[in-house]
Amino acid sequence: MKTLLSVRNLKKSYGDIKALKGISFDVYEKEVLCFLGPNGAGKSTTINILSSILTKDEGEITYEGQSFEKNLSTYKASLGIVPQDLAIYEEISALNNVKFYASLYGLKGEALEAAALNALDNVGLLSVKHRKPKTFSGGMKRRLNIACGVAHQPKVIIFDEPTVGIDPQSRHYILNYIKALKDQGVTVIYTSHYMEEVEDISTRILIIDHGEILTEGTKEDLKKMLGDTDKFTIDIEANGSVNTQPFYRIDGVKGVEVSDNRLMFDVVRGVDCLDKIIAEMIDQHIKLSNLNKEKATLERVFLHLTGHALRG
Amino acid sequence: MLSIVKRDVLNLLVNPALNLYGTLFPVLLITAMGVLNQSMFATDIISSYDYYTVTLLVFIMFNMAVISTNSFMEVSIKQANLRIGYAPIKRYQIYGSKIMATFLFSLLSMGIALVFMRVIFSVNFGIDVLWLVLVLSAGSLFASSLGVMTVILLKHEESANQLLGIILIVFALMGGVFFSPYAIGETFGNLSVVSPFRWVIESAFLALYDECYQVLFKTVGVLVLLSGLCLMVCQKCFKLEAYL
Ligand SMILES: Nc1ncnc2c1ncn2[C@@H]1O[C@H](COP(=O)(O)OP(=O)(O)OP(=O)(O)O)[C@@H](O)[C@H]1O
Ligand SMILES: [Mg+2]
Repeated sequence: MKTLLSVRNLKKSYGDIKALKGISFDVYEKEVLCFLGPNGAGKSTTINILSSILTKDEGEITYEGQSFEKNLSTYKASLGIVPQDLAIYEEISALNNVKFYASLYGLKGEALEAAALNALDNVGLLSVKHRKPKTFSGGMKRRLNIACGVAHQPKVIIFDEPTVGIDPQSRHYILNYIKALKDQGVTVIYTSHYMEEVEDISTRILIIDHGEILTEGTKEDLKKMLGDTDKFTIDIEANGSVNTQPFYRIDGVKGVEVSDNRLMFDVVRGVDCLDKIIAEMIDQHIKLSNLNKEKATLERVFLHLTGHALRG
Repeated sequence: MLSIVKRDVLNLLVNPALNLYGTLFPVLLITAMGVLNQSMFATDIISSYDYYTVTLLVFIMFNMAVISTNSFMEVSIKQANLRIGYAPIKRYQIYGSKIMATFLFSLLSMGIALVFMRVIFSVNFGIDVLWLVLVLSAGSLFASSLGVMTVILLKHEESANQLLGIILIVFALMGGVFFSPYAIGETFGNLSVVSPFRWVIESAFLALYDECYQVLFKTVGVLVLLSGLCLMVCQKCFKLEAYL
């Protein structure tokens, strides 16, 4: 894996607010690197520094082994940025928006037209290319925001929360597009606070909170931090006569806990033993009212690392 | 750079408020003042229309400062303007194109007003209207640079517009756009030499009707110099993060 971007000890404060407290990470060629973190974690600050519109306080950033400030034009030309805030002109057509931004990267004439049409096609806006964004839905504007950032076919594309507050259809387009980029070998940096998305598209994840990177790895790596068991919670009608011993004899069951009207099982991940647990409950005449499997989610990883939930 | 300037000019034209300000407003203002004050000029060689076309166009041109702040950072285009900064272009192209766009917009606005006043009210531009165009252009170049510089220094469009609004109206009153500053008093009249409005108005009248060009050249020179000064401040102080 070739390292494209390398960030070391990056720090940034806004007055008293320490937005980034010295983060370090690498970006490898052709990966989809996801920054997962709640509001205010420092995702946009990182992206704004990477896109060179915000100056860092401290730290080093190298692109292909060279300080990015040294070859700023080459560096900027190989990046595509999709900012968190919509950055499009409402009063000109979708096509003209895309063409304008792509033209800043030196595209001209037919190549420019083709690149713009291709970008609009990729986000499903080709049929409305002559319409002005002011007539678009929120999701369509988000998709145009993407097209404007990628039409010049950059090597690295940075998406800052591109799916915040949009309709399922637009989200679907966007996530599929990112998967297509992955297949084409484009390097993608993606920030989000939606763990489902990150699970879906990432090849590697950085969990960021309060300006620090808490951990990194593939989603499988991260889930291993939760141990190798899943949790089942079974609500029951009365717990007067539960005998926990027989449950331990079931293959895969690591632990059983009884609390008021609830049985909790620790079960080795991948071992199918739910039916045996239920059979034993029937034997003991325990009436079951609800069953819940707590999956190993990134949400739980986040909770495990920070002690607070990713959302709200 | 050219495509950014083109984009910025179009952004000014598609904004209905700014568009009206640049096209209809000057014509209406000059006509209104011309009609209202017709009697005051009854015995003069120049008509009220002749007079107000000059003074009010000076007023309009200096007010282009407020247009350039809009071109630069108006909320509806601020983020889209910021995005230009992601591209591998030079920093000066971003603010420079806003100044250029406002300048071109002001030339258009001036052209419309001059043609209208000539055709409808047969305004007499004295020796050659080009002298007027020259000094007005210098004024609007300065105003465009001043507006962008003010936003860069104050970091917000609204505060820049408020500050510029006050300065412009004070200088306009001093400069004799609406009436002679000496009408208020001797001291105010003497003080008014600091108003660029007065320099431009006086030098325009001197050139148009008295064939005296020295003052006009001086005025143009000073305005171009001041514009250059503003540009230098812009280059020194402008950071893309001002848009964040
Ligand atoms: N221009 C600014 N001035 C002052 N504080 C700021 C500024 N921008 C960000 N911050 C603060 O810096 C911290 C990190 O913000 P940042 O925007 O990077 O977070 P984020 O992870 O992108 O969050 P979100 O999901 O809300 O976009 C927050 O505490 C935020 O309030
Ligand atoms: Mg953000």
